[in-house]
Amino acid sequence: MLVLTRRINEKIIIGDEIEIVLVDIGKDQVKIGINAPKNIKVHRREVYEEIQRENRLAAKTKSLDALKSLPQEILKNLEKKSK
Amino acid sequence: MKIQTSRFGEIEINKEDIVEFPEGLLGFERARRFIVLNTQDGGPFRWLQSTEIPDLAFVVIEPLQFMFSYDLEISDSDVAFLGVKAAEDVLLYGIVTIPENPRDMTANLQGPLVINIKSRKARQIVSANSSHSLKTGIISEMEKRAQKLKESQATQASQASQASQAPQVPETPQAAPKASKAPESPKAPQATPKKGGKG
Repeated sequence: MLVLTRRINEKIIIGDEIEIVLVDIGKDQVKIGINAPKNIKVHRREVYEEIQRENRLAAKTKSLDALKSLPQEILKNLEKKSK
Repeated sequence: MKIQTSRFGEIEINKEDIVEFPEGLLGFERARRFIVLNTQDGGPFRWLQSTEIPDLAFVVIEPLQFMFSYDLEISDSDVAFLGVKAAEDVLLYGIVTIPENPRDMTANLQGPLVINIKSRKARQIVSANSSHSLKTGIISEMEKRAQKLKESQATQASQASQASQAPQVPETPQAAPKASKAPESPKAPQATPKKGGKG
C-alpha cells in the first residue's frame, strides 16, 4: 500500500481522471473530496458490508407463513396490487 | 428444465426466464443464476430462487408495490453493464427481510436489484441516494402511501368539482372526430363553434 502525507487542500491524482482532495482534518476524522468520472463507483466500504449482511439475513427466510399473523387490514393492502 | 429447491421441491422452469447476475449478489458472489417465482397467494412478493443452489432464495418486492415513489439513479457504468436501452427494460426489486415480528419487515432499497428484462442481465447496485434505506419499512411505507393517495384523491376530487363548473373542455375533442366522420351532415358546423369556444 502506498502511503502519502498530505496537508489540507493538497491533492492526490489516481490515473488521469480521479482526484482526491484532503478537505479538512478533525480530531479523529478527515473529510475527503473525490472528483471522479461518473462511471467510477465511489462508496463507503461499510455500505457494501451492510448490504452483504442484509442479504445474508434475508436469505434466512424459509417461507412467507409469518405474514399470515398480520392483521387482516394489512394483508388486504398487501394483496392489493398497485398499477 | 427442472431445478431443485429446498423450499418448493423440484420445479419446472423455462430456461429463457433465468435472470443472470454475472457478479452474484453481495455476500453471495457465486450465486449467478436465479428465477423469479410468484408466491402462492399472489401478493406483491416474489421469490428470487437460485437455480444452482437449492437452499438459496430471497423474498423480493417491487418498490412501487409499497412506496409512494422511488427514484433510482442508475449510473452510466450500471447502464452499460446491464445493456439497458430504455427505462421500460428495467425491473427493480428490493430484497425483503422478515424479522420475528413480520410487521417490522423491511426491503433493502439501498442495494436494489436491477434487472434488464430484455437481456435478463441483472446486478445488485448501490444507490447513491442517501434517503434509500437498507431497511425500508414495508408496512410503514405502505401506510404513508395510503395516506398520500387519500390526500391526492381529495385534491383531485376538489379539482374535479371545480372543473365541473367550468366549461367541459374534454368533450370537444371527442365530439370533433365524430362530426368529421360525416363532414357533410348538418352536425359538422355545430362542432366548429364548440371548438372555437374552447379557446
